[in-house]
Amino acid sequence: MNAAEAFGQYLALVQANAGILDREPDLLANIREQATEDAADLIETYKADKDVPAECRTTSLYAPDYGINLSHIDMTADIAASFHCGVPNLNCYLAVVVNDVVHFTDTLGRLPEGLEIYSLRDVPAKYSEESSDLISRGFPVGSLLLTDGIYIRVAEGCRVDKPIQIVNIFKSDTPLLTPRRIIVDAKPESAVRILICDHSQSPAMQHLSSEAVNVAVGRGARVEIYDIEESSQATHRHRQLYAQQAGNSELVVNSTYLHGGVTANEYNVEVDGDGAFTDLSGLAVLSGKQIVSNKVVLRHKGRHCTSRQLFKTAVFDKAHGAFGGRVIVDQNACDTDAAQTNRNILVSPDARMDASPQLEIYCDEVKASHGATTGQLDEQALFYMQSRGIPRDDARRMLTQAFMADVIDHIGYEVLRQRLHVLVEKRLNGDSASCSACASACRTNNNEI
Amino acid sequence: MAEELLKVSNLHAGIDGKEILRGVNLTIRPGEVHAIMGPNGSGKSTLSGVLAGDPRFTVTEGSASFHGVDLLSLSPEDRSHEGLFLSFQYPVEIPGVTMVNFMRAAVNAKRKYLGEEPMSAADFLKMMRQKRAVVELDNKLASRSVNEGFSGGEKKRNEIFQMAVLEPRLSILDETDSGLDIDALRIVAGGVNKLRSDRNATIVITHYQRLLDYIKPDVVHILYKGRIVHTGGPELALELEERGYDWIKQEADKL
Ligand SMILES: Nc1ncnc2c1ncn2[C@@H]1O[C@H](COP(=O)(O)OP(=O)(O)OP(=O)(O)O)[C@@H](O)[C@H]1O
Ligand SMILES: [Mg+2]
Repeated sequence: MNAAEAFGQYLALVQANAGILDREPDLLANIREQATEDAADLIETYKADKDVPAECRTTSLYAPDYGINLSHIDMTADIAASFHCGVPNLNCYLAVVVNDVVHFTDTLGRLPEGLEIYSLRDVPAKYSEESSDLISRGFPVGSLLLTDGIYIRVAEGCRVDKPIQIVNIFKSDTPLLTPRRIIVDAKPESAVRILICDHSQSPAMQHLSSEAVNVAVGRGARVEIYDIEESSQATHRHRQLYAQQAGNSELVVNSTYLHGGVTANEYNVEVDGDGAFTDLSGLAVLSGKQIVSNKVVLRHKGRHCTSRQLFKTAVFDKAHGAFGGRVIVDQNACDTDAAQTNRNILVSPDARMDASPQLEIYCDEVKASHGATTGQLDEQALFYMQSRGIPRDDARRMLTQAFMADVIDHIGYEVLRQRLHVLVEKRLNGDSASCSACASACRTNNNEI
Repeated sequence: MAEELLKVSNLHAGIDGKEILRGVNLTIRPGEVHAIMGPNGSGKSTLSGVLAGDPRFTVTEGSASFHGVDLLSLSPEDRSHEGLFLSFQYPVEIPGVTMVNFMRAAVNAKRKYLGEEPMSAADFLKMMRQKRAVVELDNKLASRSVNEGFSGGEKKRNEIFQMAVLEPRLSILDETDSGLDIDALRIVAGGVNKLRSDRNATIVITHYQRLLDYIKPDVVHILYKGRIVHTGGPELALELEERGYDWIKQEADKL
């Protein structure tokens, strides 16, 4: 089955459930309607996408026969109740999303003035109109099936004091496709930091998360979006991050893949304003048969903008990683300073990595660089370590961790940075093979929902 | 006569099909210091590398027995655990791995091999402090990445520091004196002497008599074209210093 056929099936399901959906909020109905209109085109363009490993294409990701939760039934409130992700003891505004049902009534705590967080089911009309383009963006299958999501609005000048953490949890007895959506509308001169964690509480069950994170970074605003994926081999993810940046804004995105199945991350950043700064980074540790693709399309439209990209992948066993980075500098985007770095190591002979950095420059006055390297661990270093008694496998893990260190070190969010060093070390030691053993200390009961 | 600590017999080894060691025989007993000298390119570092298990080299013939264990069948890490230590002629830089983590991994791997519990953090740090003192290694280097940006002399000191931590039964010091200033040479040689006992042994590879003034050898060997062509007492090193290698080369090439 291809994506168009899959979409057709889901559409039929949606139509058969028109009765239930009639009672849905207008906002969601509108998204659904628009998705139906856009679907055919968009799915065709995705079908043609040959840049990513076959398994990461939407044609493969959406092909299995997943169940869906159109009635927005919350079968698992108890999980949300017992689940608290702390990363650890993180002082934050917390939202827990079990499958596609958003829980935050009690966990969020008191929000500071200027920060508003809503379920997509009850965004006030004035906001949903104002942010309608941002809200409706997403892969059509996800949009078609969307029944909930998180809407974050940061008012002009509001610098949010604590991070917002969103914990996505899968829990289901049947295969499940879950649409997820996070909207961040950061008004001028505001600042907000968001951490998204993906877990699975039914690690053996097939799941697909079809997720859109849509961010508007207003003039002079700063938005940081971090995510950690630590789920299971049966948990797949198609995640699209879309961001538009106004003048003098700053966007920081960092994505860490520790565990999962097939993951396709897409980053689509449009730098519209002048003098903006963009920092995209990511690291992935792949083993077994894991497959991860990170695909960046960064478009500089404004002048005097700076962008930095640093993506690293360590591929063990028969895993397969991919990085596709496209930086486009428009004709008017003079004085752009764009740098993209992609470094990968293949730790075993069967490991595989595809890297395709791409620069498209339509303006003369720019500084742009890109580099992609894929290599192996340094044999001389391995022997030196072994000669001191460090077993070869341990030496490989230590060198892999060292290889990743700069991606983690450049994260400005200190608690997370320290935690990521530990999480990556544990990952390399094989200590947290699934969420049940996850080191992010998600389950303490001091924060009941 | 005391038991043999190392017995190398007819050892042949090479790289990419090119033979470098062409039949090395060497016997070392506990408590002894052997110096190995020889012209550049004669195979001294190759011999050290082969004994330590450098995977670049292939052994084609011969054997090496280390206190009765078949050394050549062991992985490099197990050779270390069995008590072999190589001070590298060119210590390797490992960016991103701190000295502390590196040494902790090494110490605990050995303890695990010996069936012991990992060392507590406090004991480990205390030991690190004591061992650093042996070669007066700067405290600041401990928090840096292994050998990264270390000066030539600091790298060599760092090798002997690691030797002090691992307490090997046989140490091979491959040109540990090169790159050391006069004071450092005395300190490092002093460190090596402090670690000597009648149970362990040392192979000192050097080009210069000066190191041998500090670390007094019992036996001096000359390696030439992959073979030990001459063996003598400490006076041999002095003779080489005076006469150079030509007479040795002529003698050997006649054969
Ligand atoms: N990796 C290698 N590839 C090719 N040839 C090598 C390699 N390593 C060593 N050799 C060769 O083997 C021979 C012996 O080298 P080795 O380093 O053992 O000499 P050495 O006696 O230690 O010399 P020096 O006194 O200069 O340190 C040399 O001819 C050298 O070029
Ligand atoms: Mg040498």
